Amino acid sequence: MKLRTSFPITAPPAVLAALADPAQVAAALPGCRSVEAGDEGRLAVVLDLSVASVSGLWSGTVSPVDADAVRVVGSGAPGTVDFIARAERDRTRLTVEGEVSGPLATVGTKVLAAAVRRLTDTLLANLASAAAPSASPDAAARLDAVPDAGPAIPQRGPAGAVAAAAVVTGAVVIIRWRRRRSAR
Amino acid sequence: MTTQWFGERVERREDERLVRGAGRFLDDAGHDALAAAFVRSPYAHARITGIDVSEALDVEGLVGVYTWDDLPGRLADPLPLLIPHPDLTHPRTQYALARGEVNHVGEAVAMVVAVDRYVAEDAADRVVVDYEPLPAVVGLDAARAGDRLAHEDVPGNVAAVTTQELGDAAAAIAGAPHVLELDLAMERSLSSPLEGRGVHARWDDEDGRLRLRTSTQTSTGVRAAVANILGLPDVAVDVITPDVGGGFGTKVVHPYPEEVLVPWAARLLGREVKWVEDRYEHFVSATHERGQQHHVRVGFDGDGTILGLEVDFWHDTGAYTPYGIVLPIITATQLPGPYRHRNYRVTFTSLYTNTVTVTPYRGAGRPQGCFVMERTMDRIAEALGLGRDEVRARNLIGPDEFPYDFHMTFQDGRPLIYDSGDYPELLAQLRELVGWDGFAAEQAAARASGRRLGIGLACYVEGTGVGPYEGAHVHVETNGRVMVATGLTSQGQGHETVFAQIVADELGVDVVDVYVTTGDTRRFPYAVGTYASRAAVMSGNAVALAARAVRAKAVRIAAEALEAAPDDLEIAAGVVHVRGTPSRGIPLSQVAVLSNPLRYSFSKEAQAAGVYATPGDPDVAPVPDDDEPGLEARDYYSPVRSTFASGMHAAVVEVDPELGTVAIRRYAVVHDCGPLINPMIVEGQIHGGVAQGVAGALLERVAYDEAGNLANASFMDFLMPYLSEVPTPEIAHTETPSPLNPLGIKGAGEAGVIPVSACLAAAIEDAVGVRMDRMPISPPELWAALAEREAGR
Repeated sequence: MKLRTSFPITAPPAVLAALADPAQVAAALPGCRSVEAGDEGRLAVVLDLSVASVSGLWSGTVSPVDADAVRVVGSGAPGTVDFIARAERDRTRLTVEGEVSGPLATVGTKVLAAAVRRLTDTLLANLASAAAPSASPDAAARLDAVPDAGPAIPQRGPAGAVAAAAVVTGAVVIIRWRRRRSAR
Repeated sequence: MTTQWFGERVERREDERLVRGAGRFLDDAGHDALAAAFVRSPYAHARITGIDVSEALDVEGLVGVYTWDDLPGRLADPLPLLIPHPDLTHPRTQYALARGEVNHVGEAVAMVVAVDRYVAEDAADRVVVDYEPLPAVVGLDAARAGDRLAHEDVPGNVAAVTTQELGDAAAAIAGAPHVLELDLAMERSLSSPLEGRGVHARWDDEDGRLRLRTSTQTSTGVRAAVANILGLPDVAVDVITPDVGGGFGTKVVHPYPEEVLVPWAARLLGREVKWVEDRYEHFVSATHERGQQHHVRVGFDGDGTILGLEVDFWHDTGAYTPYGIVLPIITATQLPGPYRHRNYRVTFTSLYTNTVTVTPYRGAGRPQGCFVMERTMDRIAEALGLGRDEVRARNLIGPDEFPYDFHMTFQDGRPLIYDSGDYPELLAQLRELVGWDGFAAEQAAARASGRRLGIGLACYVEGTGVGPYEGAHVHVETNGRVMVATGLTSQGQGHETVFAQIVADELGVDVVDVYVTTGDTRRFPYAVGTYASRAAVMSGNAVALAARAVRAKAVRIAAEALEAAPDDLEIAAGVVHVRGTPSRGIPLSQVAVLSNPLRYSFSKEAQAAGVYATPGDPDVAPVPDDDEPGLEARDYYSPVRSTFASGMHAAVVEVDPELGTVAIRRYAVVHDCGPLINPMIVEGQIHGGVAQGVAGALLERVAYDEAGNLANASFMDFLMPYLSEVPTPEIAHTETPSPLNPLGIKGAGEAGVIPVSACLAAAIEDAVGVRMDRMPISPPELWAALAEREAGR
């Protein structure tokens, strides 16, 4: 099934900075089991993924395409995805386009798109609230540090930071976080 | 001695299970199926600018939400135009799910699938659709005005304009000594069967087969459409019609969006999916009928003989035209009724409105046509000071005038030729049954005591048994059971009983040994459907022909076994025996064994067909070239044209001028559908039809507001008749056989409903003297009409 959706994103500097840190991302990403940095800016992500009645373990990689886009490829019980997430309009908008197959492809395009947006919003909001207590004049300094912060950041400056946002949002765009049941 | 089943009041075979609650309706299947619910338009006409499902994501148990964007291949195309016509210049059909625009309140915009219906409804409630409202066309006045468009690309809202003419009506009227003009209207109603629509689909991935149950009037129609739209081989789609709690026309439309979406979802998800229509959905998404306005010009001479008739009418086709222009064609061609017309012109304009699509509802354009013709007859009588029965009698086609050719084209594309009938006899019967001649005294006596009684009558002719064909398979099993399958469906008509009666007679078996299956494409894949009062005529004759073929084969096999001449054999009580010598016979069950040469004898009885049991002629193959194994046959009946049933109704009503209420004191029906297969079932059809007709005349209407909201979309506000409103009709039959089919029968399914509005309008008018030019009439409307007349005095 083709997936194409586009929606506004809000990623203040502190959040963009946090995206550089796989550990912070793993903590903020709903359902995330692990985020590991690999070669050439690649991230390996493992998630408990749930969209509507489709759920299960999913693992994939997020690879930089250019300054503003990443490609996400992965598979698992919920299905297979292969798409590109691109930050647009001065990084205020994320457009996701690609193919989804397996159970995820049965929920309907609008459900998938809504889940993508929901998860992106949640991730960015979680990172923002994690960053909030330390919101301080040195946030700008932390942003400046982003270009050297890690393998997920392929380019310098704000563009690189937004690409980082795209990387992570891309990694999770098809995910809808759901609280794990406390008891079985 | 042989028993004759045809014509007997055999108790309905299906009632035992239906009255015990053991029927299997659509919702009795698929308990574990996922449930579908639909997001439907709240606007009559609007553009869809966005659909947001994000709130639905929080509903635990949601499986998916689907919109037009999700639909693959032909499922994304408009649904089929079922009955195209050259005059239908602007056909429009809906998409399975709205594509950017909605054209009536209730149009499906999104399908939600969830673990059960509660969850599906909860999720559907949370789907947010953004609409940009467009001007809505509601009602025929708005449609005719044409200043707003129901579809922006359909000028003047005109779907079709058609004219048919016999002789030269305008010239005849111009030369007539008397001319009248009338405007007559009927409002919109709907079928409202007690069981709404429903679909249950199961995709078998291992077999690559779809099994679809749907509460339809045409399982083969659904099958062809679903296979085509979903890109499946026909042979991979089985459509089964379970017990159906009424259809009355609306379920002949196919495929409804749900009938393609539910199987598509079942295949996509690999799970059974079911949707059962709720009552609100039925009001806003199952088709309606009846809304028409008519202008009549009639020229006649001093004794009431009609010289020329011109009718222009406007038909509200609703938002789409899947059924083409069949309905107004039926009005146009059935309007002439039982009367001789030499000059008749009819022109209709089919108009789009932003309301639910219009397709046939029991009666199907005939109640309107009958209302127009019969009101015209009453006005002619009034103008000339003649009896209403008298004017009709002058115009009736005589019994020696058949076949009577109108030189017009009927709804089935075949010539409009009445095959048989005896209308003067019907009129005589009706006058006697209702006591027409003595009524004036009764009326005068009642009036003297302050009571307002009135009498009316109305006559109709109904084309029934339209083609193109139906077929049947009859199979005598080795256990003696006679298994009959025909492809058309049943919605409570009693097909299991009447088809069994026909087969029982043909095969000489007891009716209880005949088992009839209808509407299951696994059993009989070629069929058209149940509509237009056609089942008895079409499938009745098909089962008779198939049974005759089985009989011939049984006699041939038995003749060999009994070493008798086939002509000397007869079948009675399930035994083929030599006529006059009942002891020299062989049961049909054993004939069935002999019909199928066996290598492996599966029972003691079957040993008779074993390879060593029947040495036979060494040079003749066990199954000769021109033969087939098994005591079974398949045959089809296809008529050259429709057969025309007829009838007349009379009603005595009492109007309470203080309240505007109408009480039906007597209701008389004379009816001719040819030979009656089962008089009890025919009378049941008449009772039901009259009930529905009374409802349509006095109670039911579909009330749209100006914006196209359906204001009475529930049984709280849409008035169904209670027993207190429904008269028990007094019924008499005439049986004029049809020359067109082997059994000589005609249809009876719609007869009861056709003349009721015309008949009651005439009776009310006779009681209180106010003009009844539009139906239905409610107590407030009648009261207002009476008050207006009083004020005018």
